[in-house]
Amino acid sequence: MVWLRSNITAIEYRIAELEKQKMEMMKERKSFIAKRAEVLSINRVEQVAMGRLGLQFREDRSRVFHVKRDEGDLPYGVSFKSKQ
Amino acid sequence: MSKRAVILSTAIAFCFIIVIFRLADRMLINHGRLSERARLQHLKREDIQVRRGIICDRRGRELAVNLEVESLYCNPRQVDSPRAVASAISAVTGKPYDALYEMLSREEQFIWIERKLELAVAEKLREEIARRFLEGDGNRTRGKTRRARKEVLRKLKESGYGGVGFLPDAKRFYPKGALASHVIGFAGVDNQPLEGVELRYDLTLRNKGGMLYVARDAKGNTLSEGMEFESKGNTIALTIDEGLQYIAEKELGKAMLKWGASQGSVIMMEPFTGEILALANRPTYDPNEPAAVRNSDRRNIALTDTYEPGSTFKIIVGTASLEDGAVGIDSRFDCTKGYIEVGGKLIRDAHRNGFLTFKEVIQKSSNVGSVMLGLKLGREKLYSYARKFGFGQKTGIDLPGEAAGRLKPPSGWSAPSIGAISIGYEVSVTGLQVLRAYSAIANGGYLVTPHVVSEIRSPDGNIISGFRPEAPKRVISERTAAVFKKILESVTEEGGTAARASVYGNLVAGKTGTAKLIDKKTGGYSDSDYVSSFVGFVPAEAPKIAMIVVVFKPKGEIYGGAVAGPVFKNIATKALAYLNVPMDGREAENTLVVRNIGYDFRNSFKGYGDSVNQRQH
Repeated sequence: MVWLRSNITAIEYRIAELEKQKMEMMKERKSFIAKRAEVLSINRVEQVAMGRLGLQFREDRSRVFHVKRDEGDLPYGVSFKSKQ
Repeated sequence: MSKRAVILSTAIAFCFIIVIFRLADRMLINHGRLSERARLQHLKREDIQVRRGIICDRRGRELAVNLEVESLYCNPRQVDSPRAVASAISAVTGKPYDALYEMLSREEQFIWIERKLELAVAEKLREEIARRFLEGDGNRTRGKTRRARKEVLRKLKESGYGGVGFLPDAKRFYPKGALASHVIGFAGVDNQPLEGVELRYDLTLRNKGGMLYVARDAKGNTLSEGMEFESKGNTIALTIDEGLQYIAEKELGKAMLKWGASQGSVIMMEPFTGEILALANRPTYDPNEPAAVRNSDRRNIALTDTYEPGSTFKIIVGTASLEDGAVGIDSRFDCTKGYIEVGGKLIRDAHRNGFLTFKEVIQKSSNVGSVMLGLKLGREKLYSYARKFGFGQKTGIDLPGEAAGRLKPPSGWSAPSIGAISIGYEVSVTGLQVLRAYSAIANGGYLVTPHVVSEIRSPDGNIISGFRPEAPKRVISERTAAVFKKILESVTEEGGTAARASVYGNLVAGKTGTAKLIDKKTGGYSDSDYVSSFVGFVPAEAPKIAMIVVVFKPKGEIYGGAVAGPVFKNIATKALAYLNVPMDGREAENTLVVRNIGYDFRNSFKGYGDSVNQRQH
């Protein structure tokens, strides 16, 4: 009985310790989410793409991509048929 | 048995009896009271941290998130080393020492010293305060041992030390900066909502706080039963698309610089559903630093500011005349004089015209022709159609601060009013009202309800509610809408007032507007200040976007076709490319179909392409 009780208490201490670690990681995660959102902002993407990489924005719409949202385990299938 | 043995046995027995009595007292008689006392000693009250929900765009990209920070407080009455604390804070944050020392010397029990410190800065500050405490100056000098420093740091972190402590806090952060700032709004230093979606949907984004009782041992270590210490608000998905918003903001910014305008706005909307895809204003602000601009810069002028719309209001006389059967598309109007008299006032055309058909009256934006249409309709019908199209009333968009505009009932009109109102004067509107009216042409005759929130999700991703619009109201017949759409297409063709709004590869249907602004000094119309606008939708036959551009006080040029039209063109060109909309008549060419194998929950927010493709097929 005493042994069980002390085990339970030890586990509770461990859980509390892990919760503390989880809270610290959650704080870090929030910070990473914010950083990721900032880095992926379209303004920044455009600056890097056009400024640093020299890409150009094509407005001629000569190629149009339609993405069909099928679920399943099929790999990507590509065809040049007109949109279905 | 010897006498000593008897005495010893008696003494031992007596001790045992005392122990048994004490045990009985503790475990039987005072059990309840002592258990309760032990419980109170073990349990500590912990606040449940409340965090506002996230706001994201229609594709799940975060627009407003929370950062974990700490705020530094102190109880000045308990601070016995104000010099040490003040110099530590000053060394880390750069704030003036004198101001800090004054704060720490006050006769108060609780003051904030620094709010919303980043965790790294808070840790640095903690180290610095601990170091200063240990170095001397006050009663808490404990030497410089590592153990002592660790102890001070631990106390600073948990419950405060020397009258100073840190509290966990959250800071609202807008990772895209000024993008869509007028839609999102911002939160103040205490995370109170102050504008935009943050304010309108505050109850949804907030969650109730609360308290937990947590078991602690004598050293203060927690014994946990796996409880959550954080309560999160719901996530809001907007109808705004970050990409379209960026395009609108960038082009509007360029136009403002080019024309030296005082303010401007762009609203882009899906004409069939009323989803606001982009809403941009200038001047604008960064919601991470709202205090860096004037209050007026934070106003959502697309909704709050009204103006006399000028020729864009001719949609009323145009559609009403068609709907009423008063005119046909080839009806002719004598505009040779170049002016018309209404109630003693002369209304002139901007350019001299000859005989114009009904279509040409709209295409060339003839004031004379429009007034003739208005006179033919009469006051009551003109007013009735204007109200039908939503003017003089709020649109009901789910953002705060919307203005209703002004449309006087006919009983309040003077003799010239019918002429003025026919050409968009003596009536004040918001850009959103005009856009909604033209969307009715785009979608076959229905007035939709504009909205910026698409979905509300619980913190674990389950949909709580989506936008449920009222059934859109039909304001004109499908036939009238189709005929008027054809006329609006001619406005952006050769001979129309908005050739500069045309988009390569797709037909644009729209209308220009140029109206004088009121001179506040004289109370009359200004000769130099105008509001230039263009409202339209593209592609005309199967509209994907409807958009209005409004520019106030442009310098050099004044006409809507010259100022606002090119902005519309630039935004629409990029937006159609962003949305992968093929050029008119080329849908089947060069089309690559890619089958996707699935996506995470964020992609289940309704994609713009889905709604359009469902209508097309």
